[in-house]
Amino acid sequence: MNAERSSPGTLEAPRLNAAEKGLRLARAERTEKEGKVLRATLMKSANHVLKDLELPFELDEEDGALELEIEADPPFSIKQYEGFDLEELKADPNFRTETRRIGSLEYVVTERIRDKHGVESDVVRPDGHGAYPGKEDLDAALQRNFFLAQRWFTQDRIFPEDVALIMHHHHSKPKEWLWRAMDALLASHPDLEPDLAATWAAKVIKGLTEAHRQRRETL
Amino acid sequence: MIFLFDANRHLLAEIGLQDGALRQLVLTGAGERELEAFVSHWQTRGIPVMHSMEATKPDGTHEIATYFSYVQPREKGFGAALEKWAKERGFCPMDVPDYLLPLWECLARLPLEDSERFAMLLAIRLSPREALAEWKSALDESEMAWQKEHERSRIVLDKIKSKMGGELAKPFAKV
Repeated sequence: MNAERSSPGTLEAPRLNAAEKGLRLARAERTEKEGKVLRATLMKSANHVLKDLELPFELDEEDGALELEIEADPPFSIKQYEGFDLEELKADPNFRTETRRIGSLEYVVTERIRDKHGVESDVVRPDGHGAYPGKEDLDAALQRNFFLAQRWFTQDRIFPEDVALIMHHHHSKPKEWLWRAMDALLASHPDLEPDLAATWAAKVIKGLTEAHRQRRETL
Repeated sequence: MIFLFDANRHLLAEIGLQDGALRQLVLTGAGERELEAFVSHWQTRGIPVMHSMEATKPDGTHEIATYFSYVQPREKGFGAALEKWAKERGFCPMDVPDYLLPLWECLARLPLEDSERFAMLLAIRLSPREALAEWKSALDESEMAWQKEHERSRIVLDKIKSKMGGELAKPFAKV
């Protein structure tokens, strides 16, 4: 076998000659052609099936791939969720579990405080979503959303249950965002009732999650 | 049957259920990498289901407690627990009735990207049952068109190979 050794113990694959390169190129071209024929036929016949059904979706081609364009919401939702076992982490010294209080609402938050070698680290969420947003992020968000929150508040009220819902479901870092929003609100408005601050903070977070969702959709 | 896809629409597992309990679970290569640890955990401890409970204390404050319960694979609630577990973690469970499996097999034979196969399966699943025969014809037609083109490719490539003949064998010639 025509093999070359560049260093002891390293066996290199034989270099391709022009014929082999040509064959590979032809093979790749043919595979691409086959794919085009398949997709064109599939799209044509599938759209023929779908044509008279008046379903809220259609099959489309984008960048050479078939995609389903759904007009309505898809029948499932993917939620960013805190998927970790609080009970197991309670016994782990690398995690801190504490009860926090926002107005009349209490909740438990679990955070990693040391890495796996026991070295103290920045707080990292156990579900791997990464570090919390910086204070600057929140300040900027608050500036944008605070007046909006005030306007919303005159129109309707968000109850602590809504706060809980937002904390648990709506964003990958909801608890910390809410907590920081509360902090910032109470610092700037010392006379604010904690319940009212919770309500305002929830509105801010709700606005942020909506803005986040829209940004993701735009991207 | 539940098909479990990841967020990039790669198929991870095909999960057969009987009366809501686990009958069989087949992991794909990607599924083995992503789910193997979870699956062994389900076998030993069960699948965790998160519950939230809200209570109002006598002083008027609200408390939300979060806890997990575990559902064993042979329990009737396994299918529902699996769907919940998967959605919470950003996976995409898709309930595929048995009568759609022949169409899935057709799709699986076609050299499509995973995301395309997912889109097609979703379209089929959302279609009314009376459209399934038409879907079958559409898939068969596509497979035939592809096979025809594949055969053409084989002929073209054979011609190139024979034209190049000895050149191709050069790297493997004995020194």
